[in-house]
Amino acid sequence: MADVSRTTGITKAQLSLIENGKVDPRISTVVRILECYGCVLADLGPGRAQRRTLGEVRSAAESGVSRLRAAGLGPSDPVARLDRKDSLQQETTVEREAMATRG
Amino acid sequence: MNAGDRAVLALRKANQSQDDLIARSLWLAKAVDHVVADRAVLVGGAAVNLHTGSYRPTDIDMCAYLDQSDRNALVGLGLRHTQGDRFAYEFDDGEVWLVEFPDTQVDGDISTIHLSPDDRLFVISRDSLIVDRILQATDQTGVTFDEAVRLCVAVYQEADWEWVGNEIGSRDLVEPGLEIEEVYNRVLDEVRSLTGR
Repeated sequence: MADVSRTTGITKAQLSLIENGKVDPRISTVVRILECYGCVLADLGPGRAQRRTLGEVRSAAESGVSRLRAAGLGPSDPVARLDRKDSLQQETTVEREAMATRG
Repeated sequence: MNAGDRAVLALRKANQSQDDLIARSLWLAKAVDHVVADRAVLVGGAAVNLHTGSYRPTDIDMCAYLDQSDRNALVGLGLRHTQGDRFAYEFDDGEVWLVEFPDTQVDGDISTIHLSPDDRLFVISRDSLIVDRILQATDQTGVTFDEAVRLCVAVYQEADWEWVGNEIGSRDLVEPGLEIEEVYNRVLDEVRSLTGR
């Protein structure tokens, strides 16, 4: 990080905040960091990463529910998940307490 | 506004999302992310629920490195420390959710959800989540197999199956004993049978 800081002129503290997603860097800052690695913006490509809003996430989930229903699948069973954890001798006491608080 | 104030606001929004499991899980995760110094990434069942809408999570799993000041900050936010890096939060309506940190690093790619102009949350990407659920299903229990099938059915049309297949193949080379590729093929057979594709 010290090398990147020296090359780009961006402080280590600022780089750490960017790395940990605590601040949204300006495009010009991103470009300086990429140049440091010999890259350009286009190199980032679409990849696996998506950028969605809460509304888009809700729509995707609704679509998922419809597809599961069309395939004859209902909601998953949280009790079965806990039973599996029990069979693997994992601690589930707090989870069972949490589940008991659900309507 | 500092991170602590933003965390309190996020928690308030989670409390207000009484009938919306997705919003509740995301705002709770964002509140946690605000007070933890490391970048926190939502993984596990709550991430699956974003795609299937029917997982009914009782907890949120997040990948982040925690030190003692992070643990103190989470308790300061109102979470109860249960054991290790596990916490519990009781909402105003009495619902209790667990907040767990199973790993410090996420095994896969990361997507971003913009909850508001000032609040973005990191979540394991859809395709990496498929790989993760296939890995879970190598425990050969029906429960994890069914969960993997559900996720694959829910995202069948959008997932990049070529990438997922390549990723599964590379994991299989590293850990041949888990028979990851064999589990993946069984999951796909089930998905094809259910969806008629």
